[in-house]
Amino acid sequence: MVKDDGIASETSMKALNIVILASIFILAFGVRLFAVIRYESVIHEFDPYFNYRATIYLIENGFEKFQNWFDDRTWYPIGRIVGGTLFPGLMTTAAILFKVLNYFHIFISIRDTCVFLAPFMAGLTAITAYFFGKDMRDDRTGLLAALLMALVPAYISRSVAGSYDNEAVSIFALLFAYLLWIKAVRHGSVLLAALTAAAYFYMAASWGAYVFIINLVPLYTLVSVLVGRYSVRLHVAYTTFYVLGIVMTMQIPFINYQPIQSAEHLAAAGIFVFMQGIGVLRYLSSRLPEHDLRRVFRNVGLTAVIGFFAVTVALELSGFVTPWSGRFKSFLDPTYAKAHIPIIASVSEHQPTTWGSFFFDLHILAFLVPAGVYFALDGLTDTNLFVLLYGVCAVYFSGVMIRMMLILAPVSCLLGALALSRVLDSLTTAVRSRINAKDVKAVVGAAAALVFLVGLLVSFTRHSVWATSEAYSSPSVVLMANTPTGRVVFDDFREAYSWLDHNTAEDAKVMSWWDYGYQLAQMSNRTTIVDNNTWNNTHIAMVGRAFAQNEDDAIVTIRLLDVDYVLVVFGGLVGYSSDDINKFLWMVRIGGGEFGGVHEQDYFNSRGQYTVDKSVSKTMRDSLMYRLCFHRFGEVVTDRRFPGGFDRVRNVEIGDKDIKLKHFEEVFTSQHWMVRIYKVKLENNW
Amino acid sequence: MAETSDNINLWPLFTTVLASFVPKKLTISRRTPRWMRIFKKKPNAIVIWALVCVTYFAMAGGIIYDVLNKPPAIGQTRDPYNPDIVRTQFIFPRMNAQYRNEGFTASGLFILGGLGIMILFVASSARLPAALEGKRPFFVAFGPILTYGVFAAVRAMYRKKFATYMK
Repeated sequence: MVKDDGIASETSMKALNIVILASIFILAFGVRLFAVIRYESVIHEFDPYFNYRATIYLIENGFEKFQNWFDDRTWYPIGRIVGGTLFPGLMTTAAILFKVLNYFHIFISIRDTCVFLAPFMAGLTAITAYFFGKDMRDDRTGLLAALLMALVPAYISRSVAGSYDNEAVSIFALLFAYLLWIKAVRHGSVLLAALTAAAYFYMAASWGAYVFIINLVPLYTLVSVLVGRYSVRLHVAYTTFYVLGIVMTMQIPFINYQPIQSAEHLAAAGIFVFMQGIGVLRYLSSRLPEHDLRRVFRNVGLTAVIGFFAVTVALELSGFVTPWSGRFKSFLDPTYAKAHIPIIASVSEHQPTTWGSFFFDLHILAFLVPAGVYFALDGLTDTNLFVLLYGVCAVYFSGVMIRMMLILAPVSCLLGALALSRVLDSLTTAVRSRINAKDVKAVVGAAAALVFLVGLLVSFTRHSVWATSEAYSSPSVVLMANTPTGRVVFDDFREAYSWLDHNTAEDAKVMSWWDYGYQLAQMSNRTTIVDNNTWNNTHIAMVGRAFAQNEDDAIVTIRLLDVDYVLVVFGGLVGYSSDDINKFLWMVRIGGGEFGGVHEQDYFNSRGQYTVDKSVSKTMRDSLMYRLCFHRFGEVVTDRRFPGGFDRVRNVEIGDKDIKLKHFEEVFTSQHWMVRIYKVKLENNW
Repeated sequence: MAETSDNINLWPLFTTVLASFVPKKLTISRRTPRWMRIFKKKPNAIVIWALVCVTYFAMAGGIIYDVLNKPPAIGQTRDPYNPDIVRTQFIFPRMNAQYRNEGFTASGLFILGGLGIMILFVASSARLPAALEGKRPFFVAFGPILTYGVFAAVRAMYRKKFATYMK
């Protein structure tokens, strides 16, 4: 461990600190286990199923086959080059953990390793926050930061047990890389900067948000120089980090040559050149006499500025540097995705944040962040400046996208810990000094304020545990509802997927909307047409248009794609509102946007509403999605006040109760009618 | 670069205005220009804090949500028994939707809560200016009460949106 000369100068860990950190680790692990205790150890959501399938492939076939994996059972008939289009960090971490545990004869199944990886990493993140806080001020700040990090709901939401997604390991990698960076800047050590580059490589291997590191570190370097905190340590750290980091991240197949070609990395390169220039100028200023210096500065400065602009313009015009990708452009211009890329705009995680999400995900940290910013500015050090910049950038990005609240979580813990620590320190000093001076009223007053602060933390813990238990522990693949007679479990998805696995041919092709692709591929082990990767907009548009057209037009596309089964999700019987009819307008928009021929306005009724009742428009009534979802639904009585066919999600009685399908045959409907599978009838050749 | 609008061509106006800014002599003077001299002196911590708070106020209040989805500042419902229009302040029951006013109210309260913590710190440390020394107990009480009041207010606001919020 590197010798740390923080403000409180503790170079060895106190035993009490170790005990507290161990219990914080157990707390971080335990609070994320609600879903496992309530239901079972199952992988949640949609994306983790792909990661799980990829991990199984990696463990069974080895790393080299994994890097070169071409998957012909997804995106039929195009296939997908998996090896070059995923971030391997998560799967590799899980595979290594699995192999290590197996080596010590601790036999945990692959699924359990994947399920419990996220809470384990969350514990490690809390420990990293301790070291970060210790570097910012002292070990007491570190302990507060670790506690807050273990409990902050924004982080828990993406790292519960079962949420086997990229963020599980990458938030740990992010915080670890930043910790190593501030230590590298503090000591000016090449070794620490190289380790920072290695941690950055781990982050780049795990999540697309590695772009945040390669933009924040140069921004911090630039601001440091502008504020007057240039030092040789910073120069050494940034140069080593940049060179090694860029070279290392280019080794990841998915990232390819982007570090030297894409606009997202351009700032880092520019700051690299800038730092070398500053270094040269400072060296010259220590050698040259005054008037020569002015002339050199002016000439060199002008040449540098003109040269910089010329080079940038030449790179952009020649096409060597690719412009900002659509996903990142929506950070700079939030209206961009809504106008141009409906697939990005339709994802619920990409919606902008409201104040409710801020309060729910951060609780008291939402109040402590402004206070922490003041305390960071008061007595600016290199580390405090970094945390400040990180905080401002994170607040901006978290306003753009809900998913980015995850980036705000670590820095809000650090700033909150700084604020709490400063106030607690000043209050305890006041209590001690007033006890010595025997001033009873002041002691009581300060003690009351202390009790208030502790009460804040207790309230935060209670909120955190409540939020985890109620809002963030749902497996999504299994739904639970509380009725007066007890808890009802809707396991329709897994029922349908295992029906597919047991009752269809091995090479059967299943068409569904892209949300369910990953789950289908893993749980039913069948070939899918489109899945959550959404890399090919045209292919998704084909599927969307097929669902939107009438049966005779849709069957052309379906036969073209060689589909055997069509799967739809229908929530009208039980009131599950994320079903395909509610997503249908997105299918129309995406299909129509790519091919034309389907217009959103045709699917509204004469009054301009999107509805499925008696006034439904003819296009909507003839569309494949409508017919597949409501087939035979007119015979079902869901609510005694209405005759058959009352849709519990749209709260209307459906318009067409007598649907006869021409090219499809219903083969499976799950227990609560949530998943419905239809077989495509073979073509009549006479 | 041809950003002329459909109706009026503003480009001549722009060029004449810009032309008046072109300096008569193209030299680089020795003294730093007046507008750059503000950046030479190190600003107070509070000034930077205020600027950061402006960003925080905008973002935590959901300004980007407001720009993209254009919600009204405040909602309206009509009661069947009351002939007047009743104004609703919060969108219920959704957590991921808001009216403009409720967003900025909440983020203003966030900043006030932070201010309460800062007041508590200043009051309980040696930072308190000597002139206010007699009022020290008042400030030590005021900080936590402000923060607690603000926190209770935000919690009540949140209960309006999320009825089963049991903390």
